[in-house]
Amino acid sequence: MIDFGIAILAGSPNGAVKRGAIVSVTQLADIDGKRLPNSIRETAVVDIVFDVLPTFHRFILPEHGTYEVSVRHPGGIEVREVSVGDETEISIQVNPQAAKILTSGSVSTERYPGLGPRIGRYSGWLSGLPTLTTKSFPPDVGPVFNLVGSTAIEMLPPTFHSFRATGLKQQEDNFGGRFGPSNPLVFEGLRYEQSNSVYLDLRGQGHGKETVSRWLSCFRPEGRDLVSVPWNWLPLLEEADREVRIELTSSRSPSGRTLPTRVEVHDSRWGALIEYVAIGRMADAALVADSLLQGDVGPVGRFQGGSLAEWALYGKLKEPMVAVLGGIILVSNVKDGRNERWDRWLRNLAHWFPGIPDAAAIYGYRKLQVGEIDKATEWLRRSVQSGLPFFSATFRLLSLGFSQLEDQEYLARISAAVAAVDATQPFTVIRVPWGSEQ
Amino acid sequence: MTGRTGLIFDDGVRNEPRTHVFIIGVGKYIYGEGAQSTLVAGGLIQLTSPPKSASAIANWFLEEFRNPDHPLGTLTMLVSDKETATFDGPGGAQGIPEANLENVKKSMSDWRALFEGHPDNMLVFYFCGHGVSFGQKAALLLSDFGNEENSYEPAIDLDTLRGTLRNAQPGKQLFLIDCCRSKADSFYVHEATIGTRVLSIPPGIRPNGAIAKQCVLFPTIDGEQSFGLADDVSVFTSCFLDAVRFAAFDDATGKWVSSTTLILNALEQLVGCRLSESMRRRPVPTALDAVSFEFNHIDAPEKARSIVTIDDAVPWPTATFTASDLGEAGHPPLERATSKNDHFRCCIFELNFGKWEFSGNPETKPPSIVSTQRTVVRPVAYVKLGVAE
Repeated sequence: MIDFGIAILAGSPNGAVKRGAIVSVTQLADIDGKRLPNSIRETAVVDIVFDVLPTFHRFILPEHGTYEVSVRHPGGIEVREVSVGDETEISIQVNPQAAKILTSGSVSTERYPGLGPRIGRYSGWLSGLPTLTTKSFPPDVGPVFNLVGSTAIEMLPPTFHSFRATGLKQQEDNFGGRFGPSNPLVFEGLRYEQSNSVYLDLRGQGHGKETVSRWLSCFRPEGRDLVSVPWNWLPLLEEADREVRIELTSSRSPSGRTLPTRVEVHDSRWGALIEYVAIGRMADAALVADSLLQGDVGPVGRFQGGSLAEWALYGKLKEPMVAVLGGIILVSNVKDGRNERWDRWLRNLAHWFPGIPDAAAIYGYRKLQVGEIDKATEWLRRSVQSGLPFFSATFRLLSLGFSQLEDQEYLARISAAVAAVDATQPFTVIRVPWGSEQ
Repeated sequence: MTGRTGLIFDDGVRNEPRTHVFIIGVGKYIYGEGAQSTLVAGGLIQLTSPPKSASAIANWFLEEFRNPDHPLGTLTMLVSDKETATFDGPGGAQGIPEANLENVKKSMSDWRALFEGHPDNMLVFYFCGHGVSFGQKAALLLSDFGNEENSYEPAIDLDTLRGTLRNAQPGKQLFLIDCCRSKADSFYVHEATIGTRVLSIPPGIRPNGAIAKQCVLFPTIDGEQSFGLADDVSVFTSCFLDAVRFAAFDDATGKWVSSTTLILNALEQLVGCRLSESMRRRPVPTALDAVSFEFNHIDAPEKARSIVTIDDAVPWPTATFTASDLGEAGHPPLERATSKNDHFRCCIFELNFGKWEFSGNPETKPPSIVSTQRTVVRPVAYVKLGVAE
């Protein structure tokens, strides 16, 4: 047996993704160059690292010979041919962000810890409260944003039927500012009371005084972006082995058009799952998820041998948003309609978190898969009634679900939002062109 | 003449698993650019590629598709072209119905009667023409889109079609959506609903425990030019055909079999070889719920296609590319002349299995092209040559 090492390198710090690459090594020929039938293939999920000293994942291969190394990553696929025997280790550089429209700038190092009335730590270029009556913008800056308040009637949070008319007015205590291509808006954490309040909202028990608005309204010359900030993705308490930040970015097309605001969640633990779900590669997401369980982030003991998606659901009380992502991966990968042991957890997720519309949608979608039409209708409708989903993939579940049910009433109800959500992003960002506010 | 249904092939078997194919190619938009243009559809340019692409797909299914578990059962095709479309099929030249809303609805209803007979049937739905992508929705525009009476209805709402077909008996369903990402997206930003239901199948009639496996593949290519050369097969369709002819196969099970996942991976590679990065770089998924299932079989290959391209950092050159045999057989070198005006940035060699060296000699240097050696033993080998100043 031959020990062969492969390292997957990112070209920039933002490209590093834990368990971000699916590496397959296929034997093409033996040491004499003779072609082999039924080629042996080894597959592993490997970290994409940005480091001077790369970490090599070890593959145990049967013999010397010519092998093809295929690296699937969120930005595409890279293929190399290697001669195992002549070489014992290789490094392959990938660009996992190639599929995205990226900002040209980097993370701002400026910090203004005292300026945010509701946000514990953030960075970005703050220019005070923006004037929202104008739609003209200096050419070198990006969208103006403000957090959508919810105390005044005209500022009610967006819903399926009202999102176009939401949040045009500015409240005095709103947090606002401006970010641009070289000055992303970065959220790294909330105060404990705020995190707890957000969590209670998801549980349907939100009466906390420190409520943080879920919605940011970002104003561009081309229209508004309603950004659902996934606050609850930020851990309640800091974890030593995990870095999380939410970043709002803005960029321009080559023609100078301001592109829609992007929400990037950088999570050293779960980032790969977000990336694969965002590009619709659900089978790859499941593979990555199972690998994460076997690595150093999975729980030991009780759930060893289960999939991470199952664990994510089991861990729903601690990290309900991760659990929702796990649920999306699960229902997207089922092979038949037989009951699964995670069905019970899906049910609990939907019951325990009425403030997460995605949870009800996933449960309803699952009921449709197992042929329980009435239950499916009930839960899919309940999802719509409880608000706009946190994940863009959930809009697709709803659309497919109601289409399958031939539920014309609810298809019509969700149609505008499904048509307006940005499908290129994992988290919900809804585009509202100027002139469509009514 | 097949009548309105567009059925151009039917093996007559209903009680055994079959593959049922439905093809739509829309090149002519009645109310698009031209004399009858309307406010809604006037911005849609007329296309030459979709009729060619639809015919190419139909020919491949009729002549080359092999799947022992699901042989070809029926093939239905609707095409809108400048002239009334014809297809030279198994029964000789046949007129093909226009791909308007009325015909599509009628043909879909007929299609349902064909495919509902067996739960192990496989469905393939192919569309080539203008599409509108808005949010999580997509609409496939038919030839009478933009008419004065019901402007936005003559289009297929993709989610609705997918949702409906999940109620259908066939357990494997492949959707090939060949729409370029054109300006059409920006025409309809204020519309929440484009398209209509073209087929109805009530829920609850599938066998218990059975789930329809759906795989939706579509290109992420910018602009109308991505349809390729005028009057030729589109980039996506030609890449799909390459995938199911040689590029998406694996012999891990002892037979050379493609799967939807392998096709997806091959499409990504093949498009990546043909087009520049700026054209293919779109931040949209290339697949939705890409559930994997076997698609077609080929005989054990005896030759390989080597697709040679160069680093994206430099333009495709006027050059001579050479493949030189390094093995004992000593086959003579093969050469391919390329031009900086080539539509695609790759050239293809059909080679015997063995060890080959690939090199390129550009007319103008720098940059020069760095040669590389490859062991060519599988049906496809992607060769990206580096460049040096």
